[in-house]
Amino acid sequence: MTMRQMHLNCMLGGIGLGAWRPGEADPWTPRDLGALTAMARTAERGLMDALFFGDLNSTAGAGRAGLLGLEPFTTCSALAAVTERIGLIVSASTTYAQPYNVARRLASLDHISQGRAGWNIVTTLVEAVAENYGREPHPGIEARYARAEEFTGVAKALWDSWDEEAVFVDAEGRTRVDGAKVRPIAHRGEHFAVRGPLDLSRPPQGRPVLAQAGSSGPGKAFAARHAEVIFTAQPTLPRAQAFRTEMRARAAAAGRNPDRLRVLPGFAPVLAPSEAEARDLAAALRGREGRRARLDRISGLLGLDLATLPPDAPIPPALLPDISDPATHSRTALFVEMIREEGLSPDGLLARGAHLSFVGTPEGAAELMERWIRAGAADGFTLMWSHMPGGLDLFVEEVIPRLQGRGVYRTAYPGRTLRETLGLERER
Amino acid sequence: MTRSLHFHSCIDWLDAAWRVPAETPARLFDLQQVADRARLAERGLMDAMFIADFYTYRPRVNLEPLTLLSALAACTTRIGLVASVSTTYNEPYDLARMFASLDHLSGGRAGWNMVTTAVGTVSANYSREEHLEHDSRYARAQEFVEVVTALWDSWEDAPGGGEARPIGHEGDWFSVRGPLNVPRPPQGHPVRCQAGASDAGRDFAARWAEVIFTAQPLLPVAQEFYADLKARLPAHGRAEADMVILPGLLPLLAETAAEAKDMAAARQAAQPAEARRMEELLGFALSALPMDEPIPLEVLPARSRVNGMRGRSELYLSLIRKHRLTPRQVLNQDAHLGFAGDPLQTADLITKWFLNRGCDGFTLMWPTLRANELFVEKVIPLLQERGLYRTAYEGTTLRDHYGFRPPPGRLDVRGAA
Repeated sequence: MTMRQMHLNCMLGGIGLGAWRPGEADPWTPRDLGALTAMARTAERGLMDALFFGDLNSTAGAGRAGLLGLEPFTTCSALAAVTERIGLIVSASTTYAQPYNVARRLASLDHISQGRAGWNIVTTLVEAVAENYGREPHPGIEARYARAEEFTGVAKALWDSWDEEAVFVDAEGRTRVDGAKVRPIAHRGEHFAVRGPLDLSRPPQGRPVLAQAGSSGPGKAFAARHAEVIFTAQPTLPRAQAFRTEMRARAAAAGRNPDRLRVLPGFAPVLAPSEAEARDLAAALRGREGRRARLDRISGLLGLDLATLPPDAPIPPALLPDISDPATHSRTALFVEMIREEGLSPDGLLARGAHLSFVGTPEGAAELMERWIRAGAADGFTLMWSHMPGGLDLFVEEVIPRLQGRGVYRTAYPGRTLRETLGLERER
Repeated sequence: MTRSLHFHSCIDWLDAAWRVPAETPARLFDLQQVADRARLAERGLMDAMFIADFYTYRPRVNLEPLTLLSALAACTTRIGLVASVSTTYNEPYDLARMFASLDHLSGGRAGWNMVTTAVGTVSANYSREEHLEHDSRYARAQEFVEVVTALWDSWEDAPGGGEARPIGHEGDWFSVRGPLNVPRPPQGHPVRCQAGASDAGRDFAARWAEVIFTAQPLLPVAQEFYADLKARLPAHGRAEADMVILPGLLPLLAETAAEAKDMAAARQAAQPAEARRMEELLGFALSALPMDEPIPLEVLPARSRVNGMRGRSELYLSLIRKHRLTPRQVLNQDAHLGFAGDPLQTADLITKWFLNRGCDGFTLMWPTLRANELFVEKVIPLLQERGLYRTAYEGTTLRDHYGFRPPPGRLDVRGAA
């Protein structure tokens, strides 16, 4: 039996892109199509499944690397025109958008890219976003996921509102629409009233691939029902194994085939030809944001000022917040559990971060990735870059061939669409 | 400054109801075909590709404007990219960042056609019970544009982005803190276009619009419209050259005048749907009246009662009153200027309208792909020979194509106080 093949999504823009250029003071946020195209083509040369665009509709907290980039739909549509195989996953918020707008833009991106669109369904975590969209306060997590549930249902119904056969070519070669095969959806729910049908024909993939990244209680419940790709922060192998096992069981309980779920934890390698060079690079990159800023960010999540504690002594568990409420922010819960289980100090926590991190050689990275796949900890990874475009270039040149040599990564794209690349059947 | 012609090429028009033998079928959902047409227009040195938006199902296959134009940005190098996006069914923050983003991706070629959506069925797709009344749509649009502009101005003009400041907008319709999360667009502001011809629409246009689309089938009426809009500009501190007026033109263009006439006849034969549309627009039953007698004035509503497309509705009512048109004349009249002719006749028509200040150029709505090609191959060179049209793009941005001044930088605006 052949070894299970891993899937790789490439973060490009948005949250988590640590796009620091060594030797420069500011994070690099490419807004030039030429630079973006070069990176997209590099990822495509590396046969990656998709480019993954995070998003946040605000400048709040955007001092962090990579946030101040371009809007995902426009960017992905432009990149669709200059790539051929790689998928394009757009983040769009269910809390601050209208389902008709999101459904039609995704359908359009799917047509433009000939079946390579994906939607990362986000409910928006950052409260400050609310201030850009009116006077209502940012809704709580339960309310956000209730809206997300209805929003996603409406989007699916809109894509389904055109039968496959609704579009046909007549005897004169003209593309025509059989109106009898297009139906209103007549949705009336708590949050939305949408008559439909969609104003675009059925997307080539049937429905764009659905991705999701919430790891809170409501987030996992939502993912079990809808997500085909899950992006998650899993810093250790046992945690990742437990998460993937749980998500597969939840999907099965929701009546879905667990083999149609791709769990892709974040992986942030700092790579260099030798261990020593990699360590130097990691130190240089860490120095950019400053210890205090990174400490403050985690302090905010924990509700505990880590700067007042000794940097090298274990954080006392008694100071940690209660995380028994299932609505606890998943990142808060993750850090509390890591501190409890591993006795981490403030600096230890900083060095670890929330995502699987790695400092070393391409060989070491390939070995680690294979180990996770073989252990059932992941179906692949969401690659987050320490620096751009150098991190991506080195990964494609040096890590990809090693993964292929180990028999855990494709040597050619299996088909044309993102669904085919991910090995996911159409949902309907 | 000497005037010169400007052209927009419509993406969304080819899918015509009548038949032309051997014509390449339109595939508006096919990026490659649309990209080929954009490159064709770019060879013709046109100012921009234009795409309208509808937000509601029509029995045709197309793409969403902003995604399509973003893809076209990657397939072209000079031509502008103008999309209609509704102020009624979008949030200003989203719209500001999408156009800022398109402007960055295209190197300064984005244009926003500010539309207040005029179709009642759309509200049913956006969780709204009622479509906004005409005047409220403009009140909302006014504030919408102010917010979008402030967001574009929320970043310093500086390489790499510079500094950003909140806008702190609190108004009747919107509350938006800002700043935008995309740095200032290369053009400062993507070019603002508009297509409303009603009185509320004209005031709005005089304040905000840089490019005007309008339906003007008759030169004298077009001249009045042109003079009226340009006369409204000084009150807003604007000069004549700050606005370009591009009425729609449907060039039924063929190699010979005879072929063009055949095309016009074929088109005429496929018009019953057009009659129904016209009756809806006018608000009374046209076909119930004697076809060749002037329409009795008493059947005309004093003012247009329709909620959508009011400008066009009022235009027709005034034409009927003024020229005492018969139902047949009204039905034979395209809303836009339609003209059947060979390349020379077409160039003559354009020249006449331009020199007589009926327009600054046209928004070209293609009946066929062949007409589009012929226009670039045969009509453009004639206009160039007459010294009325550019022989090369003079700049890189859409603003450059129109000869517009760049908008003041943010620091100029706020630092002056």
